[in-house]
Amino acid sequence: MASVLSSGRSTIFLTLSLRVSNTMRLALLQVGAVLAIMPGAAVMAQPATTIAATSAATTATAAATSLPVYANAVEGALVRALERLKDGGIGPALTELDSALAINPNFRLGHLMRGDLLMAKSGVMVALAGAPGVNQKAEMVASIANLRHEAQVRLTRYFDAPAPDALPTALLQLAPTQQHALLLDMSRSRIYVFKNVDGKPQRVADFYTTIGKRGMEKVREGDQKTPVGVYHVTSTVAKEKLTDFYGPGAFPINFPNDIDKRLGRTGSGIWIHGTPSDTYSRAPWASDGCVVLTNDDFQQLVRYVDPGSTPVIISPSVEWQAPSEWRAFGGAFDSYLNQWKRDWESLNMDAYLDHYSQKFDADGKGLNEWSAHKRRVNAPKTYVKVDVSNLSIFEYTTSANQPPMMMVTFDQGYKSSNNSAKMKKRQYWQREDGRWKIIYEGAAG
Amino acid sequence: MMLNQFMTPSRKSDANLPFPRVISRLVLAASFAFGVCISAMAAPADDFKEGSRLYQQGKLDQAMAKVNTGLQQQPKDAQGRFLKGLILTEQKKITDAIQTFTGLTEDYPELPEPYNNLAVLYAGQGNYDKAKAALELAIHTNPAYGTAHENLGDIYAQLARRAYDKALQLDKSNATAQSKLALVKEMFTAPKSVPTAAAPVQVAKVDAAKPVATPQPATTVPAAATPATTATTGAPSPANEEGAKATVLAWAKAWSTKNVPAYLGFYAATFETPDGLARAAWEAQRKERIERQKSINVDVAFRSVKVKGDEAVVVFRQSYRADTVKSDNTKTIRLVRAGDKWLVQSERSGG
Repeated sequence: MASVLSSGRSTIFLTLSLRVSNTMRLALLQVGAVLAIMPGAAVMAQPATTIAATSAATTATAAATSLPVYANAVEGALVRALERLKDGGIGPALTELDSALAINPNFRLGHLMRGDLLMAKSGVMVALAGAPGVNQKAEMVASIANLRHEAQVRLTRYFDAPAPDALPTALLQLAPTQQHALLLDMSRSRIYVFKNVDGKPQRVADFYTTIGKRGMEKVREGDQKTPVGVYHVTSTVAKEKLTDFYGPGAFPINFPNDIDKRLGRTGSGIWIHGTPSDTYSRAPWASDGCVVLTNDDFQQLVRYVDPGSTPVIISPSVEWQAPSEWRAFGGAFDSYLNQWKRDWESLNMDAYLDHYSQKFDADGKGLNEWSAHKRRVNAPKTYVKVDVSNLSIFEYTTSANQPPMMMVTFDQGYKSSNNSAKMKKRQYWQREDGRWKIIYEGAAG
Repeated sequence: MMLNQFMTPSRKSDANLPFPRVISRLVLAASFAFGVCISAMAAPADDFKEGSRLYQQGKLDQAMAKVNTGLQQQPKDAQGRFLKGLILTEQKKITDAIQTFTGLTEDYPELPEPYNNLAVLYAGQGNYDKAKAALELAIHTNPAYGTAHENLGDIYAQLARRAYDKALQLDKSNATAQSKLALVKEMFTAPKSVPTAAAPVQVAKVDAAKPVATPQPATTVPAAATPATTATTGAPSPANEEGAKATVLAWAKAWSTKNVPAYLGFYAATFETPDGLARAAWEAQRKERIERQKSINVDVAFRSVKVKGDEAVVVFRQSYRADTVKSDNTKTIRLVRAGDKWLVQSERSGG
């Protein structure tokens, strides 16, 4: 048996799996399935030592992150179980899984993989003890599919991970008031925590997450989807005020935000929260739209969240870039933003207004009406001085099918020959004909 | 040839499963060569021989008497003690049988059979971890010991099944396969320090067709309703506040004792199931969720009780403790009068 195992990543499991499915029409051997769905090369090319080695290399780099090798002990044991399977066989793999289950006996995926390994060890087919009823069988199939999905996303985190120093295009600039930011990659069921280091994000943690059972891009109330967009944690709901279902607490976010309202998206009560006490983790797509973490992970997350200011960027997927590439990408956008400010201060109205899209909309005013107003207001001025501070820049995705916008928020100190004002301003920039243009501008809500 | 087939009823039911050989297994433990020599030993050996014959005939008490006589003279005799373990097993004196086989493993650690049988008994009790450890020792003493290997495979299969059940949160009561491991009925390995060791003991021939009872597994599934508790359900409760309270307390008790029939008996035929579930589906769900827990404790602290005609509304603080779940919340139960009893018409969280 061991020789079969060592001869390839999937031989034994897939073989058995085939035998099982032929007879039972149920693929029961999930580890095999997991290994099969993993990018084959990745599993083979990234064995045991690679994860540790990668992290060692990371710590050696100048931009040493405090990123742990494993997001938590349970996930660590899960990954090591697969590694042991390759280099040590079933016994050591079982030992790892047992340690994960000792940490949390409700880790259902761990039990499933343990079942697979024990079955492989026994060499005897195990018929699942499900009742013969149709519903029960369907439930079982769904259950297995969910656990498989969970296995896939959890393991992808380790076997097909962004480079430890990679940075997301979604997060270009953090305001000094934002000590941390959360970025949810829904395609990978993962929420990343970034620390604000001089305005630049540095990845410090990440956790498995559950999103809406019908997926992403919430459109209306009750559609059981998780919204996409840029939000922030508005408050904290203490455990005492919640039922067991929410776990150790909850962080509501400001859905629907201004953009959602403009897009006619409806709904409410999108929270980040934990799990019931009898559940370690929920399936990747299982909530009514909330973002759910395991209770252990939620407790970790609490350390990073500052209600009222922590941004939560929820994206269908995340693009990671090497630091130099990321700096170039952000720098290119910065130059448009800086030019906009200079052109405004120069009182060159043509140059200034050229930054605004034909689709520009300021609270119902179209570009023409708004331009005329700006020309009229600025005509008598002899100088304009604009001070930008507390700047944050995030990519804002409204839909997986739409290119992202840039959401720019800053404190604007405005002084001119006849006026002065301070405000919190928000702009949305969109890429048009190879350059960035403003499509919306106004006071930040 | 010692050959034991365990054609138990549960094995027949396995025939309906996709894998007829799922867990059950016939054991072909060794070859004839061991068995045919006839001992010409003195009294104790004769006692054991006779005991073995009686055992084969199912005359367990007589067999035990013979074996005990033999053991009085040779208390350490491995064959005699082994036979005693078998008889105890057949007599369903599982604890004693375990003790006997354990004693053998201590005195004769080089013998694989007692480990094997110990494993079978542990497995019968659902204690697969202990069974596994015993089988591993059996294999350690004799790496070529096929029965132990096969049994170990079955143990792993059982453990796999348990793991799957946990993963998929399947109803335990649906588990069809219990462990049906092979109990070894004869020692083939000669003990090293036994007086009779010089001459192999006679092996009585066994009628292979004769069903030999396997140890009945002591299932972990809790017994169904005890008559005593069921009776409480039927107990009339006065149509006043005290009666309503008593009903809720009895309901909580049935729940705490995992007495599902009694618990379900507190619900009126017109009970408004949550989410409009079909009654049967709801009952099945409740049964599954209650039986899934090893232990449940439900405490009730009344907040208010209002009786109005044939209806009562009871609000209370419910403190629920199960294996891994704890919850405390306010609950409202609406009771309706049915004859001389209160029955639950609806229940919800909150006051």
